[in-house]
Order: sequence, then C-alpha cells, then structure tokens
Amino acid sequence: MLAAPVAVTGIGILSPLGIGREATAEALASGRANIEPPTLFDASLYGTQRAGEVPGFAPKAFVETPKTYLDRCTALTLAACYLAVRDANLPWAESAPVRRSISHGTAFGCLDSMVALTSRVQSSGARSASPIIFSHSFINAPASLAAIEYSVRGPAPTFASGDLAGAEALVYGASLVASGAVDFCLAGGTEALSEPLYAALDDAGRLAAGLTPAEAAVMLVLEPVKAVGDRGARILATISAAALAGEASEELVAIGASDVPLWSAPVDWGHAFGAEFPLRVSVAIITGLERAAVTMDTELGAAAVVLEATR
Amino acid sequence: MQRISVMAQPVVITGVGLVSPLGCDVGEFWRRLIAGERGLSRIERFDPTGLRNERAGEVKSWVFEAADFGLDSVPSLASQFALVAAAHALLDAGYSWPLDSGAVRVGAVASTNFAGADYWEQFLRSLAAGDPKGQLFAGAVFDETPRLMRKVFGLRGPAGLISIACSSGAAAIGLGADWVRWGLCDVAVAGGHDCLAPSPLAGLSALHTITADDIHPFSANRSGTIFGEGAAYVVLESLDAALERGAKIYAEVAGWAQNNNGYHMTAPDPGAEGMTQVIAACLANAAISPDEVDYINAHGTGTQPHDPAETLAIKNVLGKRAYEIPVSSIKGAIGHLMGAAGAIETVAASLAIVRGIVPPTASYTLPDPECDLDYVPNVGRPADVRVALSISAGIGGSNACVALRRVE
Repeated sequence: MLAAPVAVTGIGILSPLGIGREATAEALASGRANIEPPTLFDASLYGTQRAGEVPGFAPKAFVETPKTYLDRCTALTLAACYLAVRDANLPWAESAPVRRSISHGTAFGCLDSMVALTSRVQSSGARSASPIIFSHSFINAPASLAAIEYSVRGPAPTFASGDLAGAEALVYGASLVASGAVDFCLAGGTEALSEPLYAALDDAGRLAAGLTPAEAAVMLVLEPVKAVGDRGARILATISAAALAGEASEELVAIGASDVPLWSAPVDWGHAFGAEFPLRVSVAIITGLERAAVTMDTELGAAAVVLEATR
Repeated sequence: MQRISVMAQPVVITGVGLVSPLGCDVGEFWRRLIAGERGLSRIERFDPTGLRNERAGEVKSWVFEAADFGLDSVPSLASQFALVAAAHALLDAGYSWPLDSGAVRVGAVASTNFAGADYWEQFLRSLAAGDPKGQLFAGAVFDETPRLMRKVFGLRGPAGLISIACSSGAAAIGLGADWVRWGLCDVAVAGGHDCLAPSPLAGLSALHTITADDIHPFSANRSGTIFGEGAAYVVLESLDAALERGAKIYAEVAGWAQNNNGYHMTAPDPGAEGMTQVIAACLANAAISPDEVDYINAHGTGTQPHDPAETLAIKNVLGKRAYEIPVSSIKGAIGHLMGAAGAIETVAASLAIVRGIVPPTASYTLPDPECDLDYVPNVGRPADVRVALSISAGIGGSNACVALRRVE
C-alpha cells in the first residue's frame, strides 16, 4: 500500500536486549536478553517472577530539558526518540515543524500515572486529583510530550490497538512519508512494565501459561529514500511494502510478495505488547538482512512489512 | 501544509449510529438538538461530590443485553456504547451482522480517551484490596472495543484504535476513510466512545476545564465546559460501492487532517497556530477552497482560552468567509463527549448537509468581542450546506479536522 519505498535512517531502541543499537547487537550476538525477576515492583506476591526490563534505564540522560514529572512510558518514549534522532543525524533546522511527524503505538500507555491518579481519587476524593499526573496519564501523552520536545507540529497520532498498536503506528508513519505529506516521521511503539499489568496477567493465568511480559521503546526515523540521498545520509534499511489486514500475516505477505522469506526472532526477549512489532522490525534490521518480511498476527488483525538491505 | 493523503477515490458515509445524552436514535437526537434542548443533569451513576460541577451529559436509563450481541459477559460501559452505536450504523447502512461469511472486508477504527474507565475504577479497587482481577483489567484496556467489534460483527478486515484525546473521534473517521481508500478494507466502521467515570472527571476538574457554573460556548460569560458520555460510529465505503448497492449516502469524507501544537500539554498555543494549520491542511487534503465552506461544527468547549483561539483559527484560514457562514458548538446541548466528541460532531455536520439545517449553539448567552462569528444561538436554522467542517482539539495539543461534502 506504500506509494513509494521508505528509508529507515535511525533506530532508537530500548528493550531487554539493552539500550541503543550497539548494545542490542551485542546482546543478539551473545544470544541473551535481560529476562529476570522484576525490579520495578515487588513481584513476590505473584505466582511467577519473570519479566523483561530495560536494564540500567536513567531517563535524565535522554531529555533535552528538565522535567518535573515523567511517566515511565513517556520517559522510555522520549529516550527512544532521542536515540533515533541522533542515530539518523536529522537536520532539524532544515525541516519545517509542520512537516515533522510522530506516529506512536502503545497498548497500555501510562499505567503508573493512571494508577497514581485513580488511587488518590479513590482514597482521598475528587478534590485530591493532581492536574499534572492527570494530564500525563493520557495514552497520547508520550507522543504529545515528544512533539513538544522535538517541535513536531505535523501529525502525531497514538495508536492503542493492543499488540497491533506499534504495527499500526509504523504502517501509518510509513504511509505519511511515502505520500510526501511529511519530511520524516518518528514511528514506533512503547510499552512500560508496571505492577497492574503484571498483576492482571498473573490473575488471568497468562504468566503461568508462559507469557513473559517485556517493556520496550522503539522509534524508527522514516524518510523518503530520495531525501536521504540528497542529504548524503546513511540508510539502515528500506521498507518496500507495509500493510495491515484481517487475514493471517503469512497470507498477507503471500499476496504482496510471495518470494520474500519470513523473518523470525533469534532471541527470546519476552513479549512487548504494543512495542513488539517495531521491536521485531528493528532487531531484523540490526541483525542484518538481504530481504525479509516481518509479520505479526493479533486478535485485531495482521501486519507485515517487507525490509530490504541497503545496497 | 502537510497533506496526509489525497483521496483519489471518494469515500462516503452510508450509515450513522449514536448513543447520546439526547437519545440513542438519530432522529430523536437531531430533533431535540435542532430544537435547542439540553441533555445535562446531575450525575446519577456515581457520587459526583467534590467535582467542580455535579452535572454532566449522562446517558440515562441505559440497558444493555450482552446476549443480544452474542457475548457471555458484560463489556465496559464505553464498549457497550460503542457496540450499540456501531450496530445501529451498520444497520442504517444496510449491513446485517455477523459479516464474516460475506465477500465484503469490513474493518473498524475505534477511538476513545479513557476506554473502559468504569472497569478501571473497579480493577484499581481489586488491586488495592490485594486481589487484582485480570478480567476487569482486560475490560478496561483500549483494545477491548475493537476486539469486541471484530468478534461481535464478524469483521474480516483489520481493527484499530486511535487515541488523541478529545480529537480522537474525528481522527478515527478520517483514518477509517483512509483505510478504505488505501484498500486495507472495503468498508470501515469508524467513530468514538467514552463514558463518565470518577477519576477522569476528577482530573478534568483539577485542571479547571470543568465550569462550576454552566457551559456557555463562545459566550462572554463562559467559564468552562461540562462533560458528557456516549458514542458515535459511521459506516464508510467507496462512492462506487455505495452507488452500486443503492445505499443511502450522507456525505463524502472529502478530506481530513490531524496535527499537534508541539507547544504545551494543556494550554492553547499562541496565535492558535496548531488549529489554524489543521484546518488549512484539511482543506488542502480535501481540495476545498475556504469560500466553499458553508458550515463549521466547532469544538467550542466553552472554556475561556479555547473558544477565542478556535475563532481566531477559523478566521485565519477562512478570512472574510468566516463571517458569512454559521459556526456552532453542540456541546451546550450534550456536553463534551471526550473521545466521542469529534465523531458525534462529524455526524451532526453530516446531518446538517442531508437535512438542510444547522444545529444551534445551545446555552449561548452573551456576545464576546473575541468570539465574533455567527454561532447560531440556541435554535437550529435552515441552511443549504454543501461543504461542512468539523473541528476538534484536545489535551496534549492534538487537533483534528474533517471535511464533509454533499454528494450531488
């Protein structure tokens, strides 16, 4: 469905594999992800103690200006944007703010802030609500704060479509760039690990059934291929096709490009929900590939992108 | 200006459905809206003590039978609203469900601010009690609604949820039109939903977005908004498909745009640049000139900073045309429906086109020199509307605009 191929020129990645492209590549080479008992909350109450956290994450290192309050989901998102923008060496001054865009996906958003708001209202009444925590509890808060941080005045949607959220954000972002609507798009997804999510998964029996919840933030810099050539920048990979469908993803790929091999993850990093698809795409690029289709099937439908190596 | 997409293939609205404080039947909603009736009253579903205003646009006497939708458990209230509105929209468009055995690939683009907020409140109580209930969490999350839509209606296309605060509903309809145009599905059910719940209202109260008085959009004595609940969903398909099956057509979704102010989480940007840009981008996307616009359904929250900023943005883009056309806000009648606002306001704009009458700004009281357009005070007015815009804005600096055009 893309009107033209789209270049990936930067990757901002924080996951159980580490922070940044190099750390991720090293973790992939060693075959190990950071899957351990959670440290962000006391998991001893629950039947299973196993999750994928971003190791050694310090939010202050990744923001341009001091912040009075940041939800972990937003902090991870800002960090991914920070890494992606620098990785792509984007020429900010040359791009009008209305031609900059962000397309973000998250299944659960700012759960810690939602808990803080509701717990306080339930225990101390409506007048106790904090306006700052409330405004930071919105699921579009990560994208909005990134838009403020990076002066983005073009499209900045948030997709909250469960496991398909990051895929929908990526497909939409690629479509924006391919259509010529924007100069670039920071596209991807975030999921932050938090106790309510862990508790709910435990109660539903999903942890006991083998699900390892993981957190991750992955933002890709997407640009028109021609623009990248004009500015002499490096292309990490090209997205030659991207689609969503109700069918299974293998059927989706077969319809569009039956000769493309399906990519599979080399390391078990758990499941990063709304960030899972951009994480797969990024790892596929980091591991190096000639041509491959990254796919995902969910209850809301399927997604697929075809990645090509830069020649 | 950015162009999100160029709609080479016209996409049209062939069905509408809604749940609102003025009723759950489109005819009843429209009749009461045009008459200047208001659906605001004291909140009855939970104790509103401590909120700046105990009144809201609450959907009264609500009955939902899960079995009617083939469900063995009751979904969150917001999802109930969404399922009923979407079901009405599909039937209005001539589609009976389940749709999984047919050749038509139907997708869904839902939207919301607070998802299953009632279930979230219950889940937090269970978490605090040391007995967290995973089923409540599953009913509270954002993808509950599109997941249920796929299951209940037998949708074979993809489903998604977009959430950009109070611009969500308008963006969902725009994105749904794009999905049809891009061929991701043949038909899209798109719109928004939200329900009133204690914590979101407490947060909106803390921000002083809620008035302690009454909502008076665009009036000199405005002091804030009053929120409401409900849902509005539309059925979108290509003009060719609609004509081929002889479907009723409300309007063409001629174009849309969405952007961010990139300025502040809760304050409007200076000069209303963001809203100005989103209106201009929408007109560019729809290939409509400012002089062609016949009616604007404004966001019109009734807050001090918003209404003059939106007025300025309209004047920035439309110039003198802004003074020649009706501009109204329906929030004085139904309240601010949060994630559903942009969707129900787009539906109202489509009804203005079809029925040749523009809805009024209910509870308009005193003229304000900063808000100097024709706001259609308190009673609807006959008008020949060929092109209508619906404008939305929300927390986080999110704006959206949808352009509708009459299909001649």
